[in-house]
Amino acid sequence: MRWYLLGSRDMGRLRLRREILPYFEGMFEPHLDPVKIYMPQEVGKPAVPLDGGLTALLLAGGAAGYRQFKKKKKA
Amino acid sequence: MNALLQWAANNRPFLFFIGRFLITFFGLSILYALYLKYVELEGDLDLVTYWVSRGSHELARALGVADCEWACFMDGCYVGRPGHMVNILEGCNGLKLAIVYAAYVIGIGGWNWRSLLQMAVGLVVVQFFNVIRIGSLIALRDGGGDMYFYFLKYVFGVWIYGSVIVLWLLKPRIDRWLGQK
Repeated sequence: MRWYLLGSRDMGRLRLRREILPYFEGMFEPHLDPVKIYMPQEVGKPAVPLDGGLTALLLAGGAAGYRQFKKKKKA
Repeated sequence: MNALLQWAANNRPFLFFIGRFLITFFGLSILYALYLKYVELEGDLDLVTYWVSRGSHELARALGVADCEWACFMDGCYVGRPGHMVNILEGCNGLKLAIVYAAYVIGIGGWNWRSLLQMAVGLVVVQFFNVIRIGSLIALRDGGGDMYFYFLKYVFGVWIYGSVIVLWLLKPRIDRWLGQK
């Protein structure tokens, strides 16, 4: 039986191999469980009176109106 | 609170504008929704979508889309060559944008002949921009490639919203043409 004296660098390598590397095993493999994947359900066609673009346009209209009244006030 | 009241007192015309703007917008939107409900009950397609798709079809043909077909159903129209068709739904007809423009015109000027004239002209101008948008989209779809998606996602959105904003910015000039001080 032979004995080896391990230096701190060797101990570090050993620890890396035994304790740290196992955490990264299979990190690039997909972990998706097909049963648990969320499948979007049919939500129908909800009545939404305003979409994002129209809301932004209404806000822009308010801002343009404010600008115009400010101009009139100054004049 | 006092500062807010003070601001409201100083900006009373602006608050009246906001009130008229929103009331007109929601009023016209309700009228349009009632019209859509009516055509749905009649089993028909709304006239705005019909005419916008027809105009887009003509423009696409003028832009060189050979054998361009056009078919309308209750839920919208299909325009283009088979396999490259664009589905024009009610939401693509641009009327809601024209309503926002009209609400602004009424908000600023109130209900008078100048505002009604600008509303009518604005409706035509917005639809003109919309027909260019959809006609070009059909031509791009026909040509194939990724440009169609970029234009659909970015350029045409800016194009149609920009038409309303440009009309708003031109409004003081249009008012001067119409003799309003």
